[in-house]
Amino acid sequence: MPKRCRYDAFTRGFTVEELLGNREKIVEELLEIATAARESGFQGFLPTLILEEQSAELKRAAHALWEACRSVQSLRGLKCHPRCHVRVDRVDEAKRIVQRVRGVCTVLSVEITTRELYAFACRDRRVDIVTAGTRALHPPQKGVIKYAQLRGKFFELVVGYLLEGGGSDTIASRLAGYRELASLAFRKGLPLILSAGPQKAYSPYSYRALLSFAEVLLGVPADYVARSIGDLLETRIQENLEKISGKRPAEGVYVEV
Amino acid sequence: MRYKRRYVLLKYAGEGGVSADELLNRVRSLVTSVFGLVGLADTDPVLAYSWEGRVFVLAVKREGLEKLLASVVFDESRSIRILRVVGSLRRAKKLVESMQK
Repeated sequence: MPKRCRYDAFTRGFTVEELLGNREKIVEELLEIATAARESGFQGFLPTLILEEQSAELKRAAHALWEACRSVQSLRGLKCHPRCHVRVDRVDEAKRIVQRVRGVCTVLSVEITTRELYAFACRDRRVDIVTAGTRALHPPQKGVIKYAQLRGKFFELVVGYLLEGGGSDTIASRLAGYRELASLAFRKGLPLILSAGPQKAYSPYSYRALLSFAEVLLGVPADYVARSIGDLLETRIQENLEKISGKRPAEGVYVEV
Repeated sequence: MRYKRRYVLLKYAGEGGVSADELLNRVRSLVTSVFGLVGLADTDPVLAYSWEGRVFVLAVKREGLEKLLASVVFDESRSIRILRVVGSLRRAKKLVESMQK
């Protein structure tokens, strides 16, 4: 039986400029992140590149992250895969970015800010994770949920956004939105990921604390979240790696060597 | 009445060190702000062991363990990191000792 792997699904949040800078510095930071992630109870992490606008350097930055992840994996043995996180307001821009970076990242996510982006993220096969942003905490339409189920999307709630710049009433209303989305994901059988979100310096939430947060405050069984950020995410990562390497050239086709 | 307890290993990951009382007060205020006084009564955290202002062991009522862990998420400085939850103080001390090596 393969070894279990729990992923910290949103690690740090790098910008394009950071990744195009000093490569050694990025690898050094990833090594520090690996130590902190292991201490917090994770066995793998997804360093995330945040893409907020279309630019000529996107692919180069994603490729730099890919290379850095590979070198960290061989140094520390902790699983490390690059993730691209698209955070834009318009669907056409999101489509253009997704098309450019899909081949150079293992996991791709889209942050939802509008209803149109919800529909796009749930329908597009290239998107793995649908992240609830701070502005769109309303549940998606029925048809959109159907698509998400068919395409096997992961739903992500960023716990860090919950506390971002707000008093207790803001936190309470955001928490209510999170609860609604979490219970919807659970009822509809959509894997649910909880993550820390973008940070200037990496400081993860402990794996155990995230599971308790899900159980006590979101009303979702802890084992459901544990399975999502463990086995299910691992399976998706392996599938994507096979797609990138050409072993799965099309849906339902598998090339055996 | 004697309650069943769980022992939570915490690490302070912030700048410098922190005193055991300070940390305990911080955890208590987090639990109170999220779950109120009843939540704090359910949890009843007590300091059981500390090492060099970095690693602490809190004894918590078993019924309130999940509440305590969930309220640590609300720490804005994110300086409290949960390392392990164990069932006995002896095991907790052993783990801290293994960290010291």
